This record gives sequence, C-alpha cells and structure tokens, in this order.
Amino acid sequence: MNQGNLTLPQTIQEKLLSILPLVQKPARYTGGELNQIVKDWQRIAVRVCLIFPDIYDIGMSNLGLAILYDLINQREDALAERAFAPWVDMENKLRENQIPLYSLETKHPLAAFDILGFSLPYESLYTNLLNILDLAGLEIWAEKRTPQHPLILAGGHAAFNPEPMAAFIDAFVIGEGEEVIHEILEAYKAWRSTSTDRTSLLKNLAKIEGVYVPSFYIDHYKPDGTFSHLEKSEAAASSTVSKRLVAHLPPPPHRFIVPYVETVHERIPIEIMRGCTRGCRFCQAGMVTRPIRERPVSEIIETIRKAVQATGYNEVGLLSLSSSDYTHISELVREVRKNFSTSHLSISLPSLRIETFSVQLMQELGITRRDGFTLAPEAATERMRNIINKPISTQSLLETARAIFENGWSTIKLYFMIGHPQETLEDVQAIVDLSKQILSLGKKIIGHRAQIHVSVSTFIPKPHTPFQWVPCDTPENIQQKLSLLQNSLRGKNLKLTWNPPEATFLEAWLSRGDRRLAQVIYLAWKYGAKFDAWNDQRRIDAWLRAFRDCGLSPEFYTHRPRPIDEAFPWDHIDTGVRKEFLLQDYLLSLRQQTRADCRQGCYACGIMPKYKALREKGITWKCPPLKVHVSA
Amino acid sequence: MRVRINFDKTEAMRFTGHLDLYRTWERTFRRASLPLAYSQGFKPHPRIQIAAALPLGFTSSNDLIDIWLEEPLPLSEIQARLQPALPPGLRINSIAQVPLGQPALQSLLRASEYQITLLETVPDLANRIQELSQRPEILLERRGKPYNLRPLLLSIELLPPNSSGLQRIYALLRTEPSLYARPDELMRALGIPPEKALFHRMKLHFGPTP
Repeated sequence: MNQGNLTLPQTIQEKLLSILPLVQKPARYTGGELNQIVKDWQRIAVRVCLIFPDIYDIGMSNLGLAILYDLINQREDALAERAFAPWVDMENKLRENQIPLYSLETKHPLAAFDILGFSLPYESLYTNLLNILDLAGLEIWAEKRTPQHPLILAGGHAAFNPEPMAAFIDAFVIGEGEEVIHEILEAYKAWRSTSTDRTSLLKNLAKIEGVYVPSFYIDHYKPDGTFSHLEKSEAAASSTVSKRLVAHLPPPPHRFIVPYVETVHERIPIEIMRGCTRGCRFCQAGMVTRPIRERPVSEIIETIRKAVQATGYNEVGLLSLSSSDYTHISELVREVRKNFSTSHLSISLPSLRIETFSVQLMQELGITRRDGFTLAPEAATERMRNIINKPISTQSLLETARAIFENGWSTIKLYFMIGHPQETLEDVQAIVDLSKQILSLGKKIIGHRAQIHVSVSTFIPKPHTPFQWVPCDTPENIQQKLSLLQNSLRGKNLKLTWNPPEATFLEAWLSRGDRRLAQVIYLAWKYGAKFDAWNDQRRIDAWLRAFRDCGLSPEFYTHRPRPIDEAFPWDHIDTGVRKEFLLQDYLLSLRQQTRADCRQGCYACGIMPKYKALREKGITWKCPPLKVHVSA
Repeated sequence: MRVRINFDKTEAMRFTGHLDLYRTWERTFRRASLPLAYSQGFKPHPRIQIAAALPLGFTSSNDLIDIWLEEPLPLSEIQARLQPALPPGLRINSIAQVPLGQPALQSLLRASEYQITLLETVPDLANRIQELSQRPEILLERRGKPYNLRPLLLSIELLPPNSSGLQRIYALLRTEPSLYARPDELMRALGIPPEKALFHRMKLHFGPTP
C-alpha cells in the first residue's frame, strides 16, 4: 500500500493531544485498552481495520466485531484494528484539524489499511458508513476507487439485502464470518503477490462461497418500476449467493477488550446457541440464522471462567435468540450456580419464553430483581399472535406474571409490537387491557410496589421473512394506535415507551430497497443525515428531500402490498430458507394459522437439504429428522 | 485487612475520568482474584477508596488507593497477583498494610503537587508566573461563582524544559474537601488555554493521622 501522502500515525497522535480535552468522553478515541492487540505493521502482510459505524460505546458491545478481531489477530500474517464513528463533536474537530479517521490501536489513517471491514447489523447505519469513508478521505462510490484504496467489505444482518448499499461496497459477506474471513484473507494475499488489478481481486473473491461482489451484476426494472432481475455481467460470479454457515460453533472468544469508559453493555457476551426454531414471522434473525447450533455447557462454563480472568467483568450475558430453547438450559443454570455463586458475578439470561419455568431459571441464577423481569408477548390477542406465529396463551402469560411477582420482582417489562397491517384498534386496546390486568394482578400480590413498563416497537417487514410481502401500516394508523396507547397506558405504576414512527419508516425504506436507493442514501448523507439510529440526530427532512431529488417515492418501498409473484431485489441472496416456504408461511398468516416450534417436526424450510454436507459435520444441529411433514 | 497501593496513572489512561478509574481498579482486582470485601445491601460494592479524584485528561504518580480484603494475604502475594492483572494505564509503586481504623484518605488530604507541560510555547511565561505569584488576589470563576485562587496557590515555579524542549511549570495547590484549586483554572489565570497543556499530578500531601 502506498502510504506516501497519508498522514503519519505520529502526527495524528500529536494532534489528538490538544483536541481530546475538548470533546465528550475522549477515551472513545484513544485506544490503548486492556487486551487490545497491537502488531508491527512492517512485519504483517494483510492489515484489516474492523469498523462499527456507530460510536465506540455501542460498537464495543458488538460480539461479531469481537469474534472477527480475535480470529484475524490469531493469524501471523494478518492484523485487525478497530475504528468507530466519531460523535459529532469529534467529527467537527477531525475535520477542522484535517485529521483523517484513524484506527484506535496504532493511529494509522483508515486509508493506509489493506481492507476495511464494516459491520452492518441494521440499516440505520448506512449514512454513517458513507460518512466514515469520507472522514477517511476515501471515495464514497466503489467504482471511483482504485487498487490504491483499501478493499471495502461489509457484513452483518443488514447485508442479507445488500442492494441499497451495493454501489458503495466492493464485496459483501453474507452469513457467518468465522470461516469465510480466512478465505478472504488468503484470496487477498494471493492476489497481491501476482496482480495489481482490482477486478482480478474481486473475481477471486466472488469465487468464495458467501461472498457477493455487487459490481458483477446489473439491475433491471419493469415498466411499472418494480424490480425485474439482476443480470450477471461477469462469468466468475454465480447467479445466487448462498450464505455462509459454520457446521458447529467454534470456541467463543474470551479475551475481550475492556474499555476504560462506560459502554452500553458492560459484560462478557457468550453466545450459547445460534439460530431459532420458533419461526416468529416478523423476525429476520430467526429466519437467517438457521439452523440451531448449540454450544456445550462445559465450553460455556470454561469460557466464563477464562473471560472473567481475562477481563475482570462482573457480568456475563448468556446470549441467544431464545434461551429457554437451549437444550441443556437447566444444566447450564445449575453449573453456573455451582461454579460462580460466590464470585459476585451477575448473570443475565435474556430472551426467555413466557412460562413459569423461566421464573424458576432466573430464580436459580440469583438474577437481580432490581432490573425487572422482561416478557415479550409481542401481541395481546390470540388473533394477532397467530398472525405473527407467536402462539402463547394469555393464561400462561398471567401465570408467569403471577410467579414473577410472587418470587420477589416488582417490575415486569412487557414488549409489544404494533403496526402489522392486519392489526386493528381492538388488538391495540387489548395491549392496554392486558397490561392493566397484569398490573392489578401485581397489586394483589405485592401491593403498590408493582410496576409495569410497556415498550412498544413498530413492525417493519424484513426481507427473507414471511412478511416480506406485507406493507407497513400507514402513518395515520400508526399514529392512531400510538395515541390510543399513550392515552390509555398512563397513571401510577404504568410506564410506556415507544419508537418514533419516522425511525421505523427509515429502516423500512432501506430494508426492502433496491439499488436505486444508493443515490437516495448518498444524497441524504450529503444533506446532513447521519446517526439515523439516534432520535436526537435523525434528519428525516434530508431523507425526504433525497427521495424527491431522485424521483423515487418512499411509499413504493414501504406501503405497497407486494404481489406474491413479485421478484425481490434480494432474491439472489440464498439464506437456505426457500422463498416458497416463506410464501407458504405468509399465506398461513393470512388465515391466522400457526406453525409450532420446528424442533417438534420439520416444515421443510430448506436449510437441511441445502447444507446437507455441513450437517454431517455438525453434531450440534437441532433439526429433527426430516420425515415429519406438516402440510400447510 | 486494609491495603494501601501507591500507583501511577499513565498515558494510556490520561483521558479517563474518576469513575472510569474506579471501575478499572475494580476489574483489576477481580482479574487478580483478590478476596475483596463487599458492602452490604441491594447492590453490593467492593470496598475501595481512591485518595483524590483525578480529572479527565490528567496523569498522576504516587496516587493512592485503599482496599479492604476479606482475608489477610501476604503483601508479596497481593503484589504478585496484581502485577499481571494491571491494564496498560496503571503501574504499582508499592503496597502497604494500614490500620483498619485509620480515617479515609480523602479526609486527610491537604495539597497536591502538579507538573504542567505546555504544548505550545509561551514566550513570556516566566514573566507571567512572576506576575501571578505577586498578585495579592487572583479572582476566577467556578460554576458561575467568583472565588479567589490566591490562598489556594501555595507555590508556583518555572521548571527547566523537558527533553522535547516543551516548557514546564511546577505548582503546589491546596486540596481539601471543600477548599481546592484546580490546575486547569491556574492555567486560565496565566492566560493559557487548558487544552494546550498536559497535566500531571506528582504527589499528594496529607495531614497528620489523628
């Protein structure tokens, strides 16, 4: 890499000394934390900067980043450093003083790296990614960059529809990164020793399973403006890109970097299981992370021990999409208790099912009662629960709430979702009634201390889910539903929080968008949009202006019911779950029919035949035998 | 058992504040597997006392922290466990046992010594220091309220420049719970923007143990 005209790390370091006293939380920008890894640039072949395009406080809690950091740095021929989006005050200082955005470990400008790897777990980070490229002094558009510039990669759940960001990214990583990262590094090394041509690098990358090179495809649209198809413009590219999947979960990282400043999660994150069999129809994670793979209890216990030793954290988060479904949950809880009950270690076990057994688990773990007990019924009527395929009974919800109050908790947090187009005001009223019913149950058991916090999010139809055909609810309906909640869920011991509807629409435009949105994202950023996930920073005016200037309508992406035979811009991304399966499930939702946990019987989503060869290596898969077919 | 650790907060931790330092120590003790005593109550905290808060942006040497252990351990053992557990920004100078009944360090604190390094040369620095030390009153403002720095400024001197040729100032400032001076305010009194200076607290001075 030609570093001739780049700012030197020493210069950046010196300039920072008089800038950092002037910004909030300057330790976000210094690096130097315990367990960071610093390697000698002169002796390392491939230099990667991993970037989470939001502030340090949020990015440092991202497990995906920690996993890749660990894996890359274990290699002798590669190094990984970190960068995050600077907060507005720091961005101004960087621009005023002409300091390019730099890596925390060695203060190298981002442009000096070989590869920049962006994490994109959600869509509201898109403008930040553009802003970071700009702060790094790099061209925003991929086609304008040359082999002198770093290779720009992106991965994460938002990349399951890569199309809106296709014009800015050289290659997307679809699916799990643990194995493919090594293949990418090998391909990069091989390319650099023989060639300097960017296209030949991209061709080599496109041959790797799970890597999508968007510049090898051309998008086409029908006269009515809907998406028609992607045309392959390069023979090396394949017509569908299958997500990557690890046969079984590798040992989890334990030597986490320990920030000096407070971050959103001050804890050791340990993924106990990946994937989910519940099939909630709104949940993209549940569809794209299939199949279920579990970690053995012994490995989890060993990791807690090593991670506490390495970090000194006093909290451990045992993470998964549905902890109650972890096969050995009782044993895990017992072992955690046996090994760590005297060490002032607090354990969190989020995503528990609504049943009294969950209360027992929390009880056994000795989880602090101060923070309240969280339940996510998502909907309050049986009708809506059937539509979204989260069939829990109100009776078991009430029984669970009773057990929670009886066992010493005074606060229950209830998560609901509004804004499915089939939801009526009666369904929303039921949220009010149910919340009040639980509150009065609490009052009967523990008196005036009982508290209910209701948290309401708005439904966003996501690609690769059974609801990818469904329009968003209209702004008027959403406002009406929110007003109903705001007017009724008030009073002593009742608290309501909700997402601003415009935040929802922004995510909705982008999540089911096509390549034409690149210009919208670019202009929105030019007009000042960034930190779109932050309620105090979001600039909806900039976005609407960008849509207008591009002659596109946001409603086209969000409020148009999509015919069942419509081609989607993300159809070439294969998650292993068949489109026909999703369609079948969508049609079931229209008839309010549910499909129970697929551990009980297979519905042939497609993941097993597609990854048959991998399954033979994956002893931890929890798919049942393929015999049981349930017809829709 | 009550243990006093004399430590330095170094460059890697310059931009961390007092609470961050507290949390960093807490984690260090956990990595070292020291049997810290915990407070009672809803959310038990380990018993840790840092002698004097150090503002964000400052480094220090000869800082002090007291910790309470549930069971006695030889000092050499404590040192051996702590050493490998230290993060990049902390360095231990010495460890000593102190009587359980001794008052909290905060209550005994009287004055602090600082060394201030200027990032940009101030040509008439010697004159400014001279002028300031002769003023009968140095009126400044803190949180909108006027106060006089004069009685809190015990000593100020120009030091020889450091190896990179940067100017340095020595200052001894009063530091009592309700009566303390801040070196960044001293810089303002000298007409120097605090962000153009690096602050290092060299030593704490304590009153006699009653």
